[in-house]
Amino acid sequence: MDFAERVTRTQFLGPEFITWLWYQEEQGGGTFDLGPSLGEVELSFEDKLVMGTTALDEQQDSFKGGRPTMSLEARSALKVGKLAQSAALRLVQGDQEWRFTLKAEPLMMSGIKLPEVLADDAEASFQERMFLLENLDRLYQGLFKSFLEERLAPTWATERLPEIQAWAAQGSRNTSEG
Amino acid sequence: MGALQGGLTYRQYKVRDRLPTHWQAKVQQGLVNNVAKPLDPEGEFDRVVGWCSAHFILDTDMSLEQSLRDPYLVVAMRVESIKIPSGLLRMHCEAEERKVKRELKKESLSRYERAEVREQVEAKLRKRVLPSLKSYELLWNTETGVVRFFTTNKSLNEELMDLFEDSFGLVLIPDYAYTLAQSPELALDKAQLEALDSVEPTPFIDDETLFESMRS
Repeated sequence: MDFAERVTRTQFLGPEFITWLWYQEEQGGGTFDLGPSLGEVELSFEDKLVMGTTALDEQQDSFKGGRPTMSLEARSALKVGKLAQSAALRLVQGDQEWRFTLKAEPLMMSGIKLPEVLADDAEASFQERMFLLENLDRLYQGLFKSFLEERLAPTWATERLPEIQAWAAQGSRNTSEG
Repeated sequence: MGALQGGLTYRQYKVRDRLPTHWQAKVQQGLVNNVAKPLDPEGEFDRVVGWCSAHFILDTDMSLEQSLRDPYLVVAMRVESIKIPSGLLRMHCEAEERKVKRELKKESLSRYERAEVREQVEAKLRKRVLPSLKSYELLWNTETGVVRFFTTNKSLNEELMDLFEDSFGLVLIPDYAYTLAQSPELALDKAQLEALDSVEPTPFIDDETLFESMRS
């Protein structure tokens, strides 16, 4: 299998990653421990979510406003096998907060809003902006690594996946379902 | 949405090969050799692509001193293109065809004659239409090899990959889930990398729930 085939064949990891973040946010309260060098981050889903599948002609569901991950409509999409294709996210570490949209295919961040830049002069301001951007990149990589450590583990299919399936089947604790 | 201010939207790449020692001279030369040049209205190209300053689109003095903000190279890819509005081209072609028909005393023109008229009209209009000029910032972290290009437009990204390779002899690998998983920063172990090569999609919903949801 060549490089391009591997890239194409593993595109599904994007939607699985965003949906895994959703599961982790609900089950773990949104706190992620990324290890000693990166520390803890708080992640929350914001006001935009797109759900879909890679199946041909399958409709996408777009949710806007409020907290879409808590809506019955988004949970219904999850229950028919759709995964998150893009989501507006908020990431917080200490007093720094980033907002961005995470897209699944190709997996990338967009519309990134960095924490406020405090430096006054142009060069210091640029370097601070880059520092905040690189920091976001490190945290994003840390989150993806956490996902892959579970996803690529031999216990994925026997332990974590059944837990996620049980969560997806339930409906959100915070929705008005029932 | 750019590198220097406001929100950031970009396509991220990793330079495939390590930078050679004394890379500065090579990069400087690559920028100069591939600097954005003005589009010639009488020339054959509808589109020209090259490097310009990230601060001012008409500044093409590509000195490394001006573009390097250690460790970042901050430049922009400039695209200059001419596009004659199709409605305008159609009208002028029709006017010219009428004129030719009168001159040749013909009821209609052959396909060849019409093509010739179109070519002449296009050449004439090219000189009257102002080219469009756009630039897209690029940030290259020369320490990590990460390149961020500030547009997600597919064809512009393809042009960037070509321009980058032509300029510096370096290949850009776009970020995908697979390439990110393989990056040294993630430091996955051998077993995980082997699992990555054979990983298959798994349904996040069990068959029973899926069946019930489809029925309701």
